[in-house]
Order: sequence, then C-alpha cells, then structure tokens
Amino acid sequence: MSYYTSVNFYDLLEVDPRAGQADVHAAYLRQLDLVSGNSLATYGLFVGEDVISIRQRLEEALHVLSDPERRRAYDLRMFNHSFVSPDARADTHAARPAAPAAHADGREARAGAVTEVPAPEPAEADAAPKAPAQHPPHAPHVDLHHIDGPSLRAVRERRGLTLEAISARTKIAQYYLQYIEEERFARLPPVLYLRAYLKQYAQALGIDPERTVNEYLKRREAAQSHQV
Amino acid sequence: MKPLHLSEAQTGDDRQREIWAIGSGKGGTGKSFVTTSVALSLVKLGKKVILVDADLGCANLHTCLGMHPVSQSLSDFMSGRVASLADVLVPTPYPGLKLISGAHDMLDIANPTHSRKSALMKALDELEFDYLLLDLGAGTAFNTLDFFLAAHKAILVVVPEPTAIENAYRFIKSVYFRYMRAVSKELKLRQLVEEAMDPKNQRGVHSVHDLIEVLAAADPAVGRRLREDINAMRVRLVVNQVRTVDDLTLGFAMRSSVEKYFGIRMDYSGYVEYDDVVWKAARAHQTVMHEYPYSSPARCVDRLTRNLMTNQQIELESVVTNR
Ligand SMILES: Nc1ncnc2c1ncn2[C@@H]1O[C@H](COP(=O)(O)OP(=O)(O)OP(=O)(O)O)[C@@H](O)[C@H]1O
Ligand SMILES: [Mg+2]
Repeated sequence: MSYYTSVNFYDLLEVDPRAGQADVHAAYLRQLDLVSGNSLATYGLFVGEDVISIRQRLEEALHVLSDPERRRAYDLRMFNHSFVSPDARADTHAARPAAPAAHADGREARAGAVTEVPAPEPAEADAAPKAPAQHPPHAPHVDLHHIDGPSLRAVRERRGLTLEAISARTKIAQYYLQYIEEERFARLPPVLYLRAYLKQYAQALGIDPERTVNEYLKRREAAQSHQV
Repeated sequence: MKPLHLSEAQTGDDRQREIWAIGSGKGGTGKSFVTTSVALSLVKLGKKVILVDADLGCANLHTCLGMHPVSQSLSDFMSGRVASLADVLVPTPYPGLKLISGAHDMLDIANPTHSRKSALMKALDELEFDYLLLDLGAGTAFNTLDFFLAAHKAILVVVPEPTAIENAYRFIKSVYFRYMRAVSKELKLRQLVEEAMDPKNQRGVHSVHDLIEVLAAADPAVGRRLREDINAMRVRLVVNQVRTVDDLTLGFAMRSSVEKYFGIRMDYSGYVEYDDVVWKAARAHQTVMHEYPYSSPARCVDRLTRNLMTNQQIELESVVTNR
C-alpha cells in the first residue's frame, strides 16, 4: 500500500517527536482534513479504498501518540529513545517543552522527507495563557441531570465563559466546541478524538469528565442510529 | 529517453547551465505567463536565457512577450528544413533573452518520433545559455512527459481549482510511471508497469511507491535503482492565480499529501498572486515584469525564480509574517 502506511507516526502527522498533546491533536486534525474528501489539496489524489486505510492509520497514530504510556513504548521501539519528558506524562499541554529547542533537534531525528503543513489552528497560538485545567476555584456549583450539547452550553454560560476562552484554555478549535454544543455530530471528529475533547471541555467547565464523555457519546450514538 | 536527469546536481550553483521544463496537467493555468515571467526575471539577473515554446500543438509564447508571430519555428527544425536549431533562434525585445517559437503550422509534429525528440533535446543542449526554459503543452501526451523528464528541473503549475489539482496529480503519476517504464527494460517488468497504469488494476497499485514495491519484488536490482532515482527526483510546484491565504497554503498541503501517498518528493517553490495587471499587460502587448515590476505577480515571480535557482522553497513562516 501507500507510503502513508510505512512512515512512522511522527512523520505521518508531521509533528516533532517532542510535540505536546495539543500539537499532536492539531496535526492529526490537519491530516484528517486532508483525507476528508472536501480538501482541495488532495482532490483526485487518492484511489479507491486507500483513503480508508490512511484514515485508520491516522487514528492509530493518534491513539498511540496521545497516550503518554503508549507513546513512550512506541518511541522506545522505533527510536530506542523516548521523547516524552517525564512531566509530559502527567497530562495535556501543561508540560509542553519549549517549542524552538524541540523543533531544532527533533527534526534531525526524523526519517525521510519532512515537510511543514500550515497551522492556522490554535496549536500555534501557544503563547496563550495556560489556565489550570482543573476545576475553577470560584465556579458556582451546577447540578446536572443529564449531559448533552445544550446543557454543556448552559454550564458554560453560567460560569460566564465564552467559547473563545474555553478554546484558549483547552486548545480545542472554537468551531469544534460550538459543534459539540450544537450537537452537530456529523461535523465532529472521530470518537477517539472527540473523547479527548469532551474530557478537556468538561475539565475546563469543572464538571465530571467521565460522565460527560459517556453521556455525550451515548447521545451521539442514539442520534446516529436514528439517521440510518 | 536518454538524458533523464530530472534529478539535478545537488548544489544550488547558479552558474551551471540548466534546462527547466514547465508543465501542468490542465490547460490555461498560466504556464506561458509564468514561464515568460521567470525568463524575464532571470534576464534581469544578468542570465542568458532561451525560451522554447514546446507546446507543439498550440504555440503562443511570442504573444506573452508582446511579439508578433515569428516566421522561423521549431517545425523548421523538426521537419529538417533548417539544419541547425540556432537558425530558428530569434532575438526578442529583451537583451539576454532569445526565443524559439513553437510549431504552429504543422500539426503532425505535435507527436514527434522518439529519435526526433532525442535529436531535439541534444540540439537544445548544445545551444548557448545559462537557462533554457521549455513551455510544455498541457496534458499527459508522451512527448510532454519526456520533455519534463529530460529537464534538469521539472516545474508544475497549478491553480487552486479542483480540475487543475486533479490533473496535476494525473500528470505527476504519468511522469513517474513513464520513467519507471523506461527503466524497466525487461518485458516482464514492462508488463507490470503497463498493468499498473490502469487505475483499477488487480494488484491495487495506485502510487509511485506501490509500483516500485511491485517492481522490486520482481527484480530487486531494478527496485533498488528506482528507489534511488526517485528519491533524487523532485517536482517543483508553483501555485498560480493565488487570491487568498488558503490558495497559498494549498501548496504545503499538496506537498504533504503527494509525498506521503505517491512516495515522491515535491518542492513548493513559489506562488504567483492573481492580479488584473496580467491581462492588462497582455492586452497592451506588454509584459508584467517590465510594465508592472512592482506589482504583486512580478514580485512573486522574482521570488519564485530565486527559489528555483537556489533549490529553495516557500517557508510557511515567511508567508505568515510577510502578509
Ligand atoms: N497570476 C495571474 N493573474 C491573472 N491572470 C493570470 C495569471 N496567470 C495567468 N493569467 C491569465 O490566465 C490566462 C491563461 O494564461 P496562460 O496562457 O499563460 O496559460 P497556459 O497554461 O499557458 O495556457 P495553455 O494551456 O493554453 O498554453 C491568460 O489570460 C493569463 O492572462
Ligand atoms: Mg501556454
């Protein structure tokens, strides 16, 4: 099959081996977008079923690279060396290494042709203030009977937070947050990624991440089985 | 197909004589405009340049230079009416730039034989120049592909439109498959290549990378050679008629996808912005490079030319900060 299936996950996503979670996620989305079928850049490029295996491979890359333990094991297997710093294993972007240094030598460690993809996504706006991802201290208590798009929005508004603010805090593109709230499921990324988004969104709102993920995904499933 | 040096020498030494071929899958992308403008940009840098209208079916390069039709043309050489290519080389209003006009009277030579073609490449190579630019016809005719493969630098012009992109990919695939066919001397290998040219082939061969794998399995030595050659080859991409930032970043995304899917190398050498001065100049029989040297297309072309000479690419950072 194509070269897509033989390059390592970092080259596949075109991220630095030391890239933080936010960069990995953004890169995954960029690549996914290129094989989505709406992308001008790949119009007429892929033949037949190839797109399906490329998407699978992208998901696999995200599955491994977005989990510090799996990523560590992968690095050791591929490069005999782990690029994940001990701090980064905690979670998310809080422990991202300084970007320039990581760029400089990480690049050399990579095999094959290395290219840069435009990154208009929030991942580049890394200077944005990093608020603690945990429960905001002064957040008013919210009782939730059920969790779905509208109730997430209600919580957010009660907390006096804008989509923009959540986006800056979580590094999730604002339009995705909006799609989550509007329950535009077709526009949302695949489950693997959506799960990570929901978790981060819930943390930023100070509500239970597990419950948010479970209930939201159930709603999504119900809506999709209705469609068919 | 003799010279086959799509892979240029590794240095960016601008003293070396180079043949650049400019192609595109689709017609009307602005090949002739880009070729002419790059030629004028090179001339401005003091280079000796020859422009060759190799669009054997539909020649019009003289128009892009604001010139009247030229009586001598490539067809005089191809048909043997003149002995030497130098006899059809005509001066242009721009010192340092000479033109070989395309064949506009003989449709039959739009498909020259193999030996005529190699005679032509050899004769071109013997002319005196720093840079020789070939403006190729649109599409994937064999002679177009062969010129593209025989040049030192292969430049592909696209515009941000679905058909242009689709045809560009078809063009790239045809070029590389044709190359692999030329290298596959044995009948058995040749059959594999031909089979693979059918997009619905049984083996699921869709990309350059796939085909190399198939050929390598049949003949490891050929596989090794192809891997080396193809790794040394590259297509240089130019995005023309850029109107938005998305149009401009298209080049990065194309490079990324084509490298991973086809398994070939692509440089994003430059882009040229869309601007009304292009047709204004054309209508007045002028050139953008001379009449509107500070217009955005002219500045884009200057940058593109520098990148092509020195094997550089558009950098995402510079794109973002320059705007
Ligand atoms: N950057 C630009 N901005 C505005 N107009 C442009 C630009 N580039 C090309 N054009 C216009 O697009 C048209 C096609 O350009 P051109 O003839 O150079 O294309 P071509 O690829 O050589 O076409 P053909 O395939 O017919 O040889 C012309 O009218 C030209 O003026
Ligand atoms: Mg033309």
